[in-house]
Amino acid sequence: MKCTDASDQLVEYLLDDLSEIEQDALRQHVESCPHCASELEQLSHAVELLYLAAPERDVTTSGKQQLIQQIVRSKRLPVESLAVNVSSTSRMRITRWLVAFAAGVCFAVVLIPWFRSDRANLATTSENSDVPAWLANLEQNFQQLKFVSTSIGKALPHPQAVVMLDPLANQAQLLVINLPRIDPHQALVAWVFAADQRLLERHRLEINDDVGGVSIDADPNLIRAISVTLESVSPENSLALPDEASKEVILKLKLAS
Amino acid sequence: MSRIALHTSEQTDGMSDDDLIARIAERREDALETAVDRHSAAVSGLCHRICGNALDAHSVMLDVFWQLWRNAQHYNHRRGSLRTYLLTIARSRAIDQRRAALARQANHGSYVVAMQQVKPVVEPDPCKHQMQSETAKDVRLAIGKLPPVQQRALELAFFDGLTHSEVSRALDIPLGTAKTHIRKGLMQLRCMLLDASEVFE
Repeated sequence: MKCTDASDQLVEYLLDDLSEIEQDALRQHVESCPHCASELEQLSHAVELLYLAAPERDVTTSGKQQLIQQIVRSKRLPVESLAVNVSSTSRMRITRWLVAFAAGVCFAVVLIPWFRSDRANLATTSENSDVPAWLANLEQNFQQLKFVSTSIGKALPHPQAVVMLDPLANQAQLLVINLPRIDPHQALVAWVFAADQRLLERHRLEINDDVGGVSIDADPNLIRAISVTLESVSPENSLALPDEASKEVILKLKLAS
Repeated sequence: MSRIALHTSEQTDGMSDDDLIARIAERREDALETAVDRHSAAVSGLCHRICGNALDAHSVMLDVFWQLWRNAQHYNHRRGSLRTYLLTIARSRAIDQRRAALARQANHGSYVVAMQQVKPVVEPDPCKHQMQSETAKDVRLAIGKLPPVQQRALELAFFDGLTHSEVSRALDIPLGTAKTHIRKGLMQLRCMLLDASEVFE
């Protein structure tokens, strides 16, 4: 790598905007180039100073406590308890994954709220407007979602979702347990957001009465987040207006990178 | 290291970032509490600004401190203060969160239309840009003295979570020029603040 190329990437390196390969190449160059090392140190110092002026937003004392509890409790997700709730075939699958779990584990909890709205109103609006009522009411729903999501630290309402990563098999598995019976016109869809956004993928969850699971062939180390979305599904398997008020939505699973 | 930089790592409560990190690595909740108390406002402010809504911002903030709790032993103070470490993670995660939201919208047809009509779930008083210390005020003043294009480039890159390519598009300038403005802006900022600290010595 030439110094001009390295110099060009130093700020992006500090911002963590480079790919792993680019980071490695830059690191190698900086280690052997005093000039670029000095420039990196100066820029690093400048970033330190700049971040002193970062926008701030107060977090309430209760908000901080809630945050801490969510973090501290998250390490004790009762993985063993999953087996109690699942069918025998799924239990075998889970057992296999629990073994892999020991090799490299990450988990998170997702809460899936179901929103209700007036069915008649929905139908009327759907006929007369491009925007269905349930979407127009999304703001209210998101407020509910916010309320529910911030209560995760205190209670662990069902459904829950657990992600198990198996770096050896290069797979990740997402299980959603204690789902209510899913309407045939709906499906849970898992969105996998990789660290490299080009690896965005979408997976349909397999659903049975109380367990939904999906295996994802992706390098677990690259996965940044998974979101689970309840979508309506038309007979043609395409997005359509829901015939019931179950909404788009849901939360994300955060994985350690 | 200048005096200004030292202020970032030595806190008024007497516990340095290194001490704090060492205790977090020992899974001491009181240390995590101190870190949250000390840095949550900055992390929250940056997350809100990049994500644009309270729900995603909270999610990212949770992720940031969770990373700290899980990986404290990997923190390398030579790569920056704890504040910078957390804000770098926050920026990166918030960008991912924002892209994810955009991707979902792009794949949800009418959802996009609806979201355009939905106000983000934020409190009436969004990011307040509070300056918590005299040093922060000095930094803000110094930023104000930079050429406008450098100020804007720095704000977009660091506080609005834009990549260099996105900065160049936002400012309608070539990528190389955007990079130059950002790099020069940082260097000038540092020089101004170093000069200021020498004046006070």
